[in-house]
Amino acid sequence: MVKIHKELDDMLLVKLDIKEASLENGDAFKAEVITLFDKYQKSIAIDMSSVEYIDSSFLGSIVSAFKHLISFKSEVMLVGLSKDLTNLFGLTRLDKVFKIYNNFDDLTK
Amino acid sequence: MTEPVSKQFLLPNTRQSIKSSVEELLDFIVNQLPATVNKESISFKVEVILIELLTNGIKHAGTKETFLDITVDDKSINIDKKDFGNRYQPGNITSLLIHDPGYRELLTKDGLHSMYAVVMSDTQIKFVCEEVDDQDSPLDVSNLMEHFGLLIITKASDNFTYEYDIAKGLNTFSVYIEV
Repeated sequence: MVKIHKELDDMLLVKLDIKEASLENGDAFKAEVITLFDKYQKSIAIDMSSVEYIDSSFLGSIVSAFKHLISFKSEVMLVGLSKDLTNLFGLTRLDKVFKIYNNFDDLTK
Repeated sequence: MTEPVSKQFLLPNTRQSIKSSVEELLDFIVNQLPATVNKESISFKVEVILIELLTNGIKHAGTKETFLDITVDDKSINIDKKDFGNRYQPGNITSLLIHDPGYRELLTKDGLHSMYAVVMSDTQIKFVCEEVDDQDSPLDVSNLMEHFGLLIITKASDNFTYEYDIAKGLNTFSVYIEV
């Protein structure tokens, strides 16, 4: 579900390869992100542009993964949120927590 | 003022059916809205509310089906989600019903929000969310909440209540949205 796009010196760029981010795959997503972090020990930027549907369970999994990485002085960044996801991060005020970018180019330039 | 339009939906209470159920419900609601309404803004709110109401039902109700009564007029949308499943009990929420109306209890708090349950009657609780703005201290991300369902419904709506009918064993979540 979480595919490596590129490894940089200080971060890992990954793509979330699902359309529906929900109760069903939230735990697996969190486990994959933490496994990647354990292996690479870098902040992780996740491209979520393929996600068309998200529920609060998956949102909780993103926050949980973020908290795990923060505890090791790294972080989760988010890339390519759709308009609805952007609105949802605004509604929940998680846009104050996560660094959010339009695309990987904006993040790395 | 146009006449309210109401419809009852009986939906399967499964994860796999949520997306199609939300599309069906959203289509019905948006088609009843007056032309003057900002449908994009309302659609976002209604969609996230429906997703969370139905997801909440799967997590807590333990029933095969769930009922939704939807009423739309030119001023508001009412959504009542009903099931005869398990009594909704996160945080022993229904134990608050022994208190007098107006009693308010903090359910969750982090650096972004405080969520409260307010007793409205001996059967009904209203959810209230307040944004936390402590600009003097940095946000403590270690205590960020990880459960957003109630928060999303409360913030996307103008009124959100839960009622439990002991005699019937009926859970009712009611959402009111101004349009």
